[in-house]
Amino acid sequence: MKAKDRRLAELRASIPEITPSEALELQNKGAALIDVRDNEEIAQGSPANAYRLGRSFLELRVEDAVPDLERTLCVMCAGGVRSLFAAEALKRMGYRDVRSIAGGFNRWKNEGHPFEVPTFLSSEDRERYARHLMISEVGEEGQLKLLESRVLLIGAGGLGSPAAYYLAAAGVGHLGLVDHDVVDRSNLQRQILHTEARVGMPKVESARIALEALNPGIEVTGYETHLDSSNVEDIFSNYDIIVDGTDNITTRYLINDACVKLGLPNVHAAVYRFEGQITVFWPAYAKEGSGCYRCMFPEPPPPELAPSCAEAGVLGVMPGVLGLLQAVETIKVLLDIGEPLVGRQLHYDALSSQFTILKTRRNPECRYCREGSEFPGYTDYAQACASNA
Amino acid sequence: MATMNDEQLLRYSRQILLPEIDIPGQEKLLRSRVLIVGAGGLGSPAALYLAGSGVGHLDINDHDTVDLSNLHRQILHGMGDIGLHKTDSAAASLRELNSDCRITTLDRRLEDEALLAAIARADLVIDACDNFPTRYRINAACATARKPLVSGAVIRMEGQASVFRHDREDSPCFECLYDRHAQDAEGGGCSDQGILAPVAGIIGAIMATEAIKVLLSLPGTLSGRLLLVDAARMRFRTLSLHRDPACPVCAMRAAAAV
Repeated sequence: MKAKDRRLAELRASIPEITPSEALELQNKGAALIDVRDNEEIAQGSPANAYRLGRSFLELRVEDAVPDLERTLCVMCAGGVRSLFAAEALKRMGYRDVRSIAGGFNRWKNEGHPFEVPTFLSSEDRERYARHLMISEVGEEGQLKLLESRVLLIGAGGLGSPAAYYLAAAGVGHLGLVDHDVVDRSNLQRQILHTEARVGMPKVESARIALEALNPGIEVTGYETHLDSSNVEDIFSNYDIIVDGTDNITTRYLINDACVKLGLPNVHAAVYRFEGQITVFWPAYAKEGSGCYRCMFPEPPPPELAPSCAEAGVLGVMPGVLGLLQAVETIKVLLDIGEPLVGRQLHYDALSSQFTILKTRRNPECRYCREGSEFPGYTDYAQACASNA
Repeated sequence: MATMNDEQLLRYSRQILLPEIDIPGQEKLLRSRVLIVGAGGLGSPAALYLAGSGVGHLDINDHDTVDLSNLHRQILHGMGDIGLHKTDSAAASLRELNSDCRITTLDRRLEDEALLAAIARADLVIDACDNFPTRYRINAACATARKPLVSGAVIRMEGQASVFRHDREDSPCFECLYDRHAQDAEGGGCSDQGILAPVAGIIGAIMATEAIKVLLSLPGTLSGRLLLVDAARMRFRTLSLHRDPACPVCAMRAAAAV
């Protein structure tokens, strides 16, 4: 008897073997199905909802995927041999109930059980996003999800510049930018997407040039238009999440109303002088919905009471910090990681370097986001003053 | 003293409108010189925002070249810059944003005297490097030259930042916070760890904010405090820092002052 066969006989005596049908049944009852084949094999197909943990990194990665040692594990390879070795390794790590699927994926497929053909990162993307692949919060699955995500930024200015730059760098696959303005020299103090050579160019075009130079693997769509009730839903309905970086108060109401109606998360930030604040308005959030912008400010102030429309002073780096916080929150929402600022507002005071969290309240009477209320329709408010973006 | 021309008055108008900055503050920024060690994940946003804000002269130090894996967070560089010195790529990006800003590139690892000379020329130093040995050398050289140091670091979804006022007698320093021997034992490098891209941006931008506050003598800097950022939960904490009476760098600084 060869050493290999002797070893396999020992493993078969200690590791329970199950059929693909039994594995599927266990999976439906909550067991974890672990596919330990190499990426090239998995590229041909793998059971739906399997954890794809190649044999060579199995012990290093399994705890992130299945932290509960009591959970039943069904281990799969191509033919049912390598899975025996993998199952033994998992038992040694402390998993109590580990089973090997006899016949492996070949038999699974032949018996007509469901499988999917997963997508993988290209070797270039694997290098580009190497630092994301190293953290469990993103990993390959998360990076693929980012590449398929669609984010719309309202404003390619102070907040939109860093947010768009880092979302592009991070590999968000589709970025939309809405801005009707052109680059002005006075923007360059804080709007790092633009350059002196592009003064006079539409901001969405200037932004596209900068973002594609950084990451040609993503798609950038510019909307050189003023957002209003006639175009807001057409534009928003193409996206998963909205990043509000506008400096125009009436536009904030339009963004809010469309996000509430379409169920989209609204990553909202504002800066003033040495201060900034950010929150995520998302009444439809599955975990615990927040209120909306109108819960805090039901209607825009009448023009005569509106804040002065003269340009307010702002330290150039303030929209930088806040736009970057928006980028982080956007990625957290897209990947469903961490605790996003839904129902919480973060305030940054740069002159004391203090960050404060306030809870935001849902107004149970809000006509827009109250559960079961009929959408009251859009309002195109008159500009409180001449637009001064 | 050079006064601003009309174009500069317009360009920096949003900052000049701030009473805390005004024309004298903006002119002070234009006269300031900042050394940034590291043109990577932290140095990219810090340099862009300092150049945008009108800091007159930036010295950019990095001995590395641009690699594809840098681009997921190092926004100073682009696809066309792969293989170039990071300092050259950085200088080109910064000049495109603000040709007013003078850029000096230092594309070698700066050892003792060269590091000290570069720090002595600057009004403030930004430590945006990615390894502990360099951090200790920068801290010690800032103590010798008595230059304020803005320091930051990131890993995964966490980051931290602080200001070490080596230009003052009573300030704790980087080595009060991190005992060199303890770090040696840990091997403490952070260059091979994963990072969520915009978390590096947040810390770099906060470092730029702190640098401007120090340059303009604005209140509330992170001197004597360590800001800890947990971006996954969006929790921010500040720890009070105290001088370590046994810190050799502070002892050296005190001895030099006598």
